[in-house]
Amino acid sequence: MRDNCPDRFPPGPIVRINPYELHINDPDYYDEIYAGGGKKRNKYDLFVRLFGMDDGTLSTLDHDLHRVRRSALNPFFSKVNVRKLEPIIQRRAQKVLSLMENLENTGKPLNIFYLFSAFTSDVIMEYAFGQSHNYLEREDLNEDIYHMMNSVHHLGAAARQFGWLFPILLSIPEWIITRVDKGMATFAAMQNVSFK
Amino acid sequence: MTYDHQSLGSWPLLAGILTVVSLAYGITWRLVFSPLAKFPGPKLAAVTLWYEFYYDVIKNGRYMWEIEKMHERYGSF
Repeated sequence: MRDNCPDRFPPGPIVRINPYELHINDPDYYDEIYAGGGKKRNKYDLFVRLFGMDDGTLSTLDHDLHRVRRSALNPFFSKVNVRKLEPIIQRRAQKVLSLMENLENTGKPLNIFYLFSAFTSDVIMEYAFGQSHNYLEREDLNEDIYHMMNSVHHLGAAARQFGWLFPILLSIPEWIITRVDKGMATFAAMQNVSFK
Repeated sequence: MTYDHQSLGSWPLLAGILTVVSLAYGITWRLVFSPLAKFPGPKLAAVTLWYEFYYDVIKNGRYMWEIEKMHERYGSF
C-alpha cells in the first residue's frame, strides 16, 4: 500500500513492513485497496519493476494509461476466444497423458515440473503467437528453459530491491548471455522468432 | 604513484559530513515525519529496505512469515 492515504485506515491489524509499505491483515480492506468501478488505483513502482519491463502493459503505473493499454488485450480474454482455445488444450493434454502412459512399467522417472511447464508453454505460445515450439515433442521437454525461467523468478525479489538489476542484465549482449546459460540461449532463439 | 591527502584538502571531510547528515535526515524522516510513522512495526524495517531484502532474497522469500509474526507482535486490536 502506498503511503498516500494512511489517514483513512482505522487502527487495527496494520503493521509497517518497510519504509514505504503497510501490511493489512484484514480481508475487509480488499474492497478499499483493489477498488473496482470508478475508483482509480495507480500501480506501485516498487512492485512492478520486478518484471524488468517498465514499458509493458503489466508494468504501466498510471491508472488511465494502463486501462487504455490493457483494453487492447481484452479480446484475448473474451469467452468466445477462450472457448476456441479448448481444442488446443485438449490436444496437448492428450500428449501429456500419452507421454505418461508410454513410461508405464518402464521404471523410468519423469519430472512433472518439466512436463507441465512444457504443456503450459505450448498452449500459451500457440494462443499468443499463433504457433508453438512444441516443447512436448522434445526428448528433454526443453528443461533448460524451465530452469532459466525459474532463476528469473527467483531474481524477482532482488530486482524489487535494486531497480538497476534488470536494466543491467538486459543490456548484456545476446552472444554473451547465450554462452553463459543454455536456457537463455533457447529463450533468445524464441525471442528472435517472435520478432520476425 | 603516491596518494596525497593534502591535495584533496577538506573535501573528504565534507563528503563524510554530507553522507552522515543525509543518512540522519533519511532515517529521521522515515521514523518521525513519514505518514507511515505512526503505524507499529519493527523500527529497523521502517528505516531500511535491507530488512525485507534479508528475508526475501537471502532467506529465499520468507518475509511473508516474518510479516505474520509482526502481526502477532504489533498488530492486535
